Amino acid sequence: MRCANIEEYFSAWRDGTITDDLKDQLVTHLAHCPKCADAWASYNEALDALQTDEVVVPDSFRKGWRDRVVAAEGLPRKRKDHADNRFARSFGFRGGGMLPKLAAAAVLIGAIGLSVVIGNSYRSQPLADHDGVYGYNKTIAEDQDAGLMADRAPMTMMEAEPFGAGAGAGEGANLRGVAPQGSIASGNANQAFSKAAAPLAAPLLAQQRKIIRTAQVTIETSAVEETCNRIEMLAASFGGYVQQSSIRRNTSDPDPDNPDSEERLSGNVQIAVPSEMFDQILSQLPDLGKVLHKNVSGQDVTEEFVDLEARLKNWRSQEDQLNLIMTKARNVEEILAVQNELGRVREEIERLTGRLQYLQRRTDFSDIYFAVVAPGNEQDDAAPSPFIEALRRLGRQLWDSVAGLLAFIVTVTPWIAFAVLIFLVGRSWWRKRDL
Amino acid sequence: MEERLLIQKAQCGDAAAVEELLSRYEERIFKLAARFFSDPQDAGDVAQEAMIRIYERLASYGWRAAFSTWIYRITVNLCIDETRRRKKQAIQGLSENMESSHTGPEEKVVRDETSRQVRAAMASLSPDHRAVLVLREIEGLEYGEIGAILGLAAGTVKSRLNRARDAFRKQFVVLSGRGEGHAVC
Repeated sequence: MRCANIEEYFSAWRDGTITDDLKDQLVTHLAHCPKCADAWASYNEALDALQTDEVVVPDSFRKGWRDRVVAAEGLPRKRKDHADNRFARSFGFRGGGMLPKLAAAAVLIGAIGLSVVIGNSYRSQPLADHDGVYGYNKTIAEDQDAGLMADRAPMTMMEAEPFGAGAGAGEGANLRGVAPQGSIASGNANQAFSKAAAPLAAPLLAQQRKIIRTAQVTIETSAVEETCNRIEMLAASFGGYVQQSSIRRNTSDPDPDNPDSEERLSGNVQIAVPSEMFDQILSQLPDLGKVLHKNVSGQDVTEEFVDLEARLKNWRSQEDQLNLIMTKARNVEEILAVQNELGRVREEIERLTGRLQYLQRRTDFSDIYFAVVAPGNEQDDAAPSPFIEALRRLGRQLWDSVAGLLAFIVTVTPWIAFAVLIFLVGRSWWRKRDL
Repeated sequence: MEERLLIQKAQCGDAAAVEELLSRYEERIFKLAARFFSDPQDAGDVAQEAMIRIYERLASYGWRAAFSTWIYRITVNLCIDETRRRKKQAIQGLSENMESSHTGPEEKVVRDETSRQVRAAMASLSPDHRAVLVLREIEGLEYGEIGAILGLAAGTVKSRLNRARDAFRKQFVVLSGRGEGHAVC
């Protein structure tokens, strides 16, 4: 054993991964070589110091990450910018400047547009759900809502079927938007859980979220008036109220084949129900008649709510300070100046309070719009085949995309022309300056 | 609650499970970050970023590795990336106000000094060396686990750890004014 290479063994010795024979040789060497013994001692001393350096976790960290998880959209802008730059770099752009960002944005917009077109054409196929609802017109908003429902549903699912042995996670399970939950039934449980957790990325802590939920429903029934009354009673029985109700007699297009054509009525009822009763009421729709259309949407206003509350708190603290200053005002001029400022602050407080109350009301109560029609008023009997309908929708989506693109070009062209003009003028000026 | 069930609930979006799961690892994550960044503010920022990243990617955790390994991997990779991004930590800029648990005032002075030297020595190491050193010396992980976290073979971990320890010891000895270390006999 030589001093020159003894340090090579220190690491393995410290980890106890050397052979007994080698260990004996090292111990023997150290016993006769004070410098190597010192080196071994200082080696362990340094690494032991590393272990004894204690760190206490600050409360600011414990609170910080929780706040960020709760307000999931509230991630720092810095992080977002970083991600944007990374996105731009992934397309080969390096360095700063607007061009890479614009190009990256254009690619992103294009990709989103394409996915919307494809997604809508795919979604356009008529659905038939388990409740016998047909012609079910699902919208993107409803998909989002399905995601939100999935966020709320999981505990129910977990409790009822710990390993996802089937569907039935509430109403959300009936929607195509929550297909991942359905996949739990057949797939590997672990993978299924991963898939089912997809909504997690669009975070949650659902019970703290503020969501405005609305639904539009079209019901076909031969007893229009009675159904309208039942809807009104339904609203009252669930602690809601009627916002608007009307019944209309359709006499413009009498149907000779229908003896009751003169009695054909249609009604519109708009009700507001406590949000927690929203799903329950929707589950009773089949009792009211044949559900021709149902469109459920959810708008998450948590971020705005949190923002408004924070701003309101700020303004109130300013108001308190101004009140304090007011007590110390010495002359009329000072009083007037403080009063002016107080007026401005109070106006802002009232504005924010109003908006907060509005949001609170919209999230506490969900609006449901009912259209009640008599048989024959809707054209569902003559509905085209799913394939034809899908083609039509695809055509419409493509046309919308082309129209959008044209509108974009028309909007942007003057700006490009302006930019080119500026560039030419600038170049001309630069050249003259050089001469 | 058993961790596996907790993870599954968290993956399904159970807010309480998410919080409990992340709470279980918050201390380890912060301490890991604190070894990379001498400034507690930086450590807190990166640890917070790691928590959010874990939270966002929870759904993609596929059970291929132990959950703790997965957590460590995210945190260590973030720490390495951030360290490289912020270039080298300025040794002279070491913060003096990192909280430490101490007892008596005399011991506090000694331990503060040792603590400062440890952090300065750590700050002088490369991010890769810091990672392997922290995972072995502080977290007490085996070569295989460290390899799984850093994506290295066990042999590579062993040799890198050897170099990292040596580099750390040399820096620590210099900073503590105990000479240049081992001289060849």
